[in-house]
Amino acid sequence: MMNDRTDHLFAALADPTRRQLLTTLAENSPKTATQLAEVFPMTRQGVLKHLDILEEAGLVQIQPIGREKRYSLTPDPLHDVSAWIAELGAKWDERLLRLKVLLESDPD
Amino acid sequence: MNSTIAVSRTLTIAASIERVWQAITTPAEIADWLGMEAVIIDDLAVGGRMRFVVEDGGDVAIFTTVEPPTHLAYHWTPEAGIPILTLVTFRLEATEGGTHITVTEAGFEALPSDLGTTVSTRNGKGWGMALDGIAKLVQGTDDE
Repeated sequence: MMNDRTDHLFAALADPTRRQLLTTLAENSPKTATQLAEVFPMTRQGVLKHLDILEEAGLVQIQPIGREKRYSLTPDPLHDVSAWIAELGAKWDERLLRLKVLLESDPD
Repeated sequence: MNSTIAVSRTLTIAASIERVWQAITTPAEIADWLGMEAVIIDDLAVGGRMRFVVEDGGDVAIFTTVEPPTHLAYHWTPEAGIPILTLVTFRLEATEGGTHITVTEAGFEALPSDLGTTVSTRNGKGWGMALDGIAKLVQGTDDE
């Protein structure tokens, strides 16, 4: 199921700062990078770098309102994550069944 | 973010617990049921490594628990290219005429569940739905 988009998604979610950014945007968005830099221990440039990665993963959307871009949360890609975890569960079902067949056909 | 998101499956196998333990720790047998060639690089011991050979290279798993014949766990990469490690745990329990085996794959908390809660109370969509799906998966494992 892996494709570029889910790849980006997991890379984006793997970082605690980015998860924190998403939490902040979930509570209140849109926000500008300047506003986010006020509550995060990093520069506006640092925040922008993380926001770029989140945008690439489809987790935030940019609205160019006024002079500065505003960022909003777009959580839909997370459905991919839940679908992926469901697939992994199904894989374990298959594996355990194969293990069962292997062992129960074995006279030992 | 201490909460853990996991999938878990349980099955009863009509074989002795020692036999099941052998099947989940012996490379030749792992290949049969896990579907990946496995090579134990070091010993079958905590800190030991096992390499899974797949088409596009391979990933290394590291044993975190080796307590024969009831408890085996290793960290591995759940799918090639995914930058997270999950913890796969096998628990075996001898029962009448067989063995209960429970496998749990945990560590999907890269998906932030507390974030999901925050948003689902806020707008009830998106995150909430995704997280509901995961909760169902996790709960579903109790019914089996």
